[in-house]
Amino acid sequence: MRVLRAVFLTLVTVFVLAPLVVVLLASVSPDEVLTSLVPDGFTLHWIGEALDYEPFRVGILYSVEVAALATAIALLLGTPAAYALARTRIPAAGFLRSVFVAPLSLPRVVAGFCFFTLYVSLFPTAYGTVGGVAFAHVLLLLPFVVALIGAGLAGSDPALEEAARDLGASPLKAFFRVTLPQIRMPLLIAAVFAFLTSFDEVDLSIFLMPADTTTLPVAIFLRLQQDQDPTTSAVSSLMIVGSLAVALLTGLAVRRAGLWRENTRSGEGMDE
Amino acid sequence: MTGQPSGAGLVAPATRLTRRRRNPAALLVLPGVVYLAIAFVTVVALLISYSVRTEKTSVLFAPFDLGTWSTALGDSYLWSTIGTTLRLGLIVSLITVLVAYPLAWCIQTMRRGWAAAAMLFVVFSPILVSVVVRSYGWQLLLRTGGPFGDTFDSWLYHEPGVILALVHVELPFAVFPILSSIRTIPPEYTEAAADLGASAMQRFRKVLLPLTVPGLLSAMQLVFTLTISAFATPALLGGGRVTVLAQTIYQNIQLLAWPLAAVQAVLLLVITLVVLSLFALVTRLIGGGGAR
Repeated sequence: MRVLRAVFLTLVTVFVLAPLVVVLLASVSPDEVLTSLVPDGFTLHWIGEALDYEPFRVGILYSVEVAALATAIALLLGTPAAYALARTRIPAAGFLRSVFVAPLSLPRVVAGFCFFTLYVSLFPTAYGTVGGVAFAHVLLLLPFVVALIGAGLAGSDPALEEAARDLGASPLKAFFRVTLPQIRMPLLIAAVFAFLTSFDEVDLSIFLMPADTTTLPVAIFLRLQQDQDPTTSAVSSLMIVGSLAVALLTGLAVRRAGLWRENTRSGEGMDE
Repeated sequence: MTGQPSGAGLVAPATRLTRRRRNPAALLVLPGVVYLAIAFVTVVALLISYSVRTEKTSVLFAPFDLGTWSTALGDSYLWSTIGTTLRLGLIVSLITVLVAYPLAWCIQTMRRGWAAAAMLFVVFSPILVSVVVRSYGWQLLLRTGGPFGDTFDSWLYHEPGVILALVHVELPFAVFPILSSIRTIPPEYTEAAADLGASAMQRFRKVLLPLTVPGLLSAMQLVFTLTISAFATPALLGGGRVTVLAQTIYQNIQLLAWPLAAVQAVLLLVITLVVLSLFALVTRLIGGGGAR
């Protein structure tokens, strides 16, 4: 039984990591086509070429701008909503909760088509702009942001904010000085997750910009439609390494703060 | 919530807090709700409006025409595309759940904390890598003259390759709901069953499996809906030979046949909603039976 389990876990690990590892290998191997899993050499040539390739260079910047703006809007819209749902007796709370989850059931391609027609037929200036793409991305990020911050709030102690208010702090001051620091780790996780989700998005984004200037994942997709060469591997590797580094750093920060774990536990206790 | 003894001390101040903020609370949700209202109303209005125009147009107020609907619904190619989409959804969600279920149990029952954390990282980290990159990785692995020679010749640009890559993309989404349903089982349940003389197999079949069925179903529902709307993965690994609904929507936009794309988008949306309500129905039936 134990052997079976070890074999199963090994197979899953290989399956999950194989496509990522092969991209990393292809990007540092001197060969034009990766023919073996043991590369015969090491080169940074492709990475240099990827950074020289105009659509990728533009795409990296474009994606960062879109992701930053979309994350900011999603946090600005989502945090107060999560707060109202978790801490106040708002009418129709159940309905509102399902409204904030609803975008998850909307196929991204359908959302992409709709934002595309919205922009092109009614707001032509929004098509292909950072603002237009980010505005559409908010739809995908909002459910995660509301859920993650809601979980954080459920795990923090409302009595502290109440105490601050009893001591004379205004509601806003009490929120910013007492509640916000309590949920800083859930906020960080929500922000990082939202940023990466937006940065990686293809299915919705591809409808929202002309083929010559696109976000990075769309640029990769469009290039793959035409031909494959190690330059694509190189820029993909940068994305893999970047995402995993951000995830690891966030994980370490959360572990160090040690807040999230206790919070979620007491939060789960209160929900059940 | 109020029945929770440990929370009893908090109820009084929390209630005072809520009374004072009843009106501002609505203002707090408002921006988000306005945004979603714009998005959803736009979705429905534009989709429907475009779907009843002459087949090939990019103009919003083109002449009214139901012909696009009848052409689309009479098109056997569209039906075979819908068939492929649903078949992929079914196969991928079944395979994914079959892998994710034992995987979630393995992670949950790992004795060493660091090993469980490492396995969780392995399973969930691909979510952070773009679908395009992951699909490209499968292309590199499967292609002729790649690391495996021509072993996978009949996979890449055919359905098996698409299925393989989709399972890879959706696996974390299946593990998550299963894992959280496993975590809500109080350990006393298994202990009680063991005390009453149930074997490991019986404990699993009679206690643990029924309790995790809701998680299993929501995993399958999530993977199914994500798979039928996937675009980039089938486009890259299907190589034009495997066509799903999401691709035809994109292609029709490129061909400036927006009303046709709108009809197909409505169909994809309707299929998604039907699948969601079917799963909700099954979950309620099973959940109701299990509770009694």
